[in-house]
Amino acid sequence: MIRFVEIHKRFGRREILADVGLEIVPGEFTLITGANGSGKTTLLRILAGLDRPDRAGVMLVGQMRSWRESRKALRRRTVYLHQRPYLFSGSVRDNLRYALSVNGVRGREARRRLDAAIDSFFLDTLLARDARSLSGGEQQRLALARACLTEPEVLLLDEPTANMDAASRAQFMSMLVHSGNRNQAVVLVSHDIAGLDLRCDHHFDLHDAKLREILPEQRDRHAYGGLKVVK
Amino acid sequence: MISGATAEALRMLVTGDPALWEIIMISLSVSGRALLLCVPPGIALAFLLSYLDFPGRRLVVVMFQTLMSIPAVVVGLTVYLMLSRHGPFGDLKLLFSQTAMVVGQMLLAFPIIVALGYSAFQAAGRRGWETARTLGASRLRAFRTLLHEVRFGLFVAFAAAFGRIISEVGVSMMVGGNILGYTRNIPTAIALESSKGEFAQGIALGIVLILIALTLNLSLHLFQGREPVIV
Repeated sequence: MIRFVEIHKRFGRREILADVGLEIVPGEFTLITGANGSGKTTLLRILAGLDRPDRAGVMLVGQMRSWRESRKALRRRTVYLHQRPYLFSGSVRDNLRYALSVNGVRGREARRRLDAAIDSFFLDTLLARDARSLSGGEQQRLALARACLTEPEVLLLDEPTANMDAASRAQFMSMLVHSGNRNQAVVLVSHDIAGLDLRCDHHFDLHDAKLREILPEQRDRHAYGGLKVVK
Repeated sequence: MISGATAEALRMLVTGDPALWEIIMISLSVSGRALLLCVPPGIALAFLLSYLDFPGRRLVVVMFQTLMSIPAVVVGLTVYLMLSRHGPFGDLKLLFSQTAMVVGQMLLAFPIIVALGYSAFQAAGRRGWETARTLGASRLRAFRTLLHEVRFGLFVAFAAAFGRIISEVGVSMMVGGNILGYTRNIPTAIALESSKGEFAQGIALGIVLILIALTLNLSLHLFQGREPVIV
């Protein structure tokens, strides 16, 4: 479990995050919603160890440390997916192999993970394709598969379905829910969850620099784009 | 006169005129060394300017972009003043040597490598670096990956820098002294022979310069056509 407390972040005079706390529990799915520019991406990047908060505490293996001291560990335990994923030049297969290679996964174990990812994310017909020639939805699928190959403890997804049609969104979410291992935590931020049949364990709304939990009994009333988030 | 000189120039090239080839080899050796010495620090600085946030970063970038077009003769004059007997480095007795030419050409090539290298790294954006890091690549491995991602842009930077220094007259003339068999290179030889009204060697060396430019461009095209493999 990773617990973040009192995350503060300002850009100039504007307060983006004020005393934000979040607990990431293995196997749980956390959804963070909020309007465009509310600070969702900033929060996610802080969780990933990519952006520095002005102040934050991180509880890791039972010890409270500053974000700075925890940065390395956060980077090791999480994988962050950009809203527009970056795919390396080369084929789909090259991109998948890269994730294994940088983590030192080789031989039989590499083949096992690769085969599982190809099956789970329906990439078998795309393997030889130039990764950058894929459609937006296919690129997200590849980026997710590549991230899952590293078997991270926490998967941090930044608006992964923002540019997808309804069918692609449904397929993406289904793959996300069914592909990860049981102990993998997922934190997904989105300004628009319309069309997603999302089953989250926790739902937070980021508004006015504060994170507010939307409890299950409140979710019916907290509808986005006419659709509800259902536990 | 022109046709006669051109015919003589072609004869010199085909028969391998020793004086001509000596000048060509001096040019390639001096400019090659200057480029090789500039490449590692130039790439490192371009990378740091692209990915590090520090006050005055934009100013540094603008400075290097401006230095790209600094007149060679100004650089030549500066190096001359530094290396002349009463200059701060006069004791090194480097004036009118190949080393002085290498130093001067480095000052011309370095801003080009930094400015064009910076543009190349900017094209990959922060996402390339962050993706490699978040997938688990070490800093060194992520840097190697990024170099591979921006290889075409970097090659363009090297080609532009080499093109500039192999054909410059100002530095070579002022700090090299145009000494036959030692510091006389292609551009200074062309200038000297033309001033004497002997155009054959000048035309032959001009053809060599054009062939070097053609070779650089062709190798860039071949390089781009090769199948990419992520490193």
